[in-house]
Amino acid sequence: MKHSIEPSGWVDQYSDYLFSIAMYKVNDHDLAKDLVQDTFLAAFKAREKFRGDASEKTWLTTILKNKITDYYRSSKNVESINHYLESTDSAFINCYYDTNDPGTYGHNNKQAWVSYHASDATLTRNEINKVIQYCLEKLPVKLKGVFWSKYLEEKNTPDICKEFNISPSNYWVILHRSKVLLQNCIKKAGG
Amino acid sequence: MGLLKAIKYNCLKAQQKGIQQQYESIGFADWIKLKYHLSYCKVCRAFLKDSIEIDSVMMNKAEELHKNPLHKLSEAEKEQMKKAIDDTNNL
Repeated sequence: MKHSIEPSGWVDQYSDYLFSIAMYKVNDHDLAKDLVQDTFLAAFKAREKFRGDASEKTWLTTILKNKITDYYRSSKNVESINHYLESTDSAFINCYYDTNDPGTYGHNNKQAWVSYHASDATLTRNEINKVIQYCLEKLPVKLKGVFWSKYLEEKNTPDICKEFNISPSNYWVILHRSKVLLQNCIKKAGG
Repeated sequence: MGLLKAIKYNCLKAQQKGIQQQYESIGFADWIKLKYHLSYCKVCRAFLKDSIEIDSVMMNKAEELHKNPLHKLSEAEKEQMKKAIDDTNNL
């Protein structure tokens, strides 16, 4: 099936969706708004090239992702993610791991999670959903965009690394840290 | 004991590799180290189990986003965007 294109309806139909994606990835209202507007303008200029193989929404989302890639390719923004990881590495390890024995890095009390599968204070799926939303908002800005990208479009690791211009090893560091922080936050909120 | 020491992961490494293994292959050597670590570390086992649960909730949240975006632009901002597209059209 070939899809048609209708630029006059783009803003009403897709702006909130695209804006949400941009917000998750760059976490800045004005920047996200500018990225969405740039997406619409770039799409409008390239409308002749729309072949109709994918839906308008998919096409616009791809353009937005390219805009986000360009944003993270700028050396200033890449440096900020890498610098954040380096500068907070020891603080993160000291907070969540027992560094008295560097060979083992056991868990300290803060990380003695009780899995919410087996916890006395078992949370229902609905409650977990609300708690995760709260905890997601509290994730550090530098981690949030990469973490959300894992789920937003079911993208694979190389695509996300390319979009944020990060190395695969930093990608796994970000995913791990995000989950440690989320689980810790969920435990506090649910416990 | 030498062999066990050689294949011993610390918890930080075990969790990082454990998460990676939930999405892609990590290679035989890392797999052995991870399995060995998880055989005695209850906390890391719980962490990785919860990691899967978080994934499931996150996938649902991502699907919801298509139907009901959490972040919304104001009407004024939308009008501004429409005008910008119109201006491009009139160039």
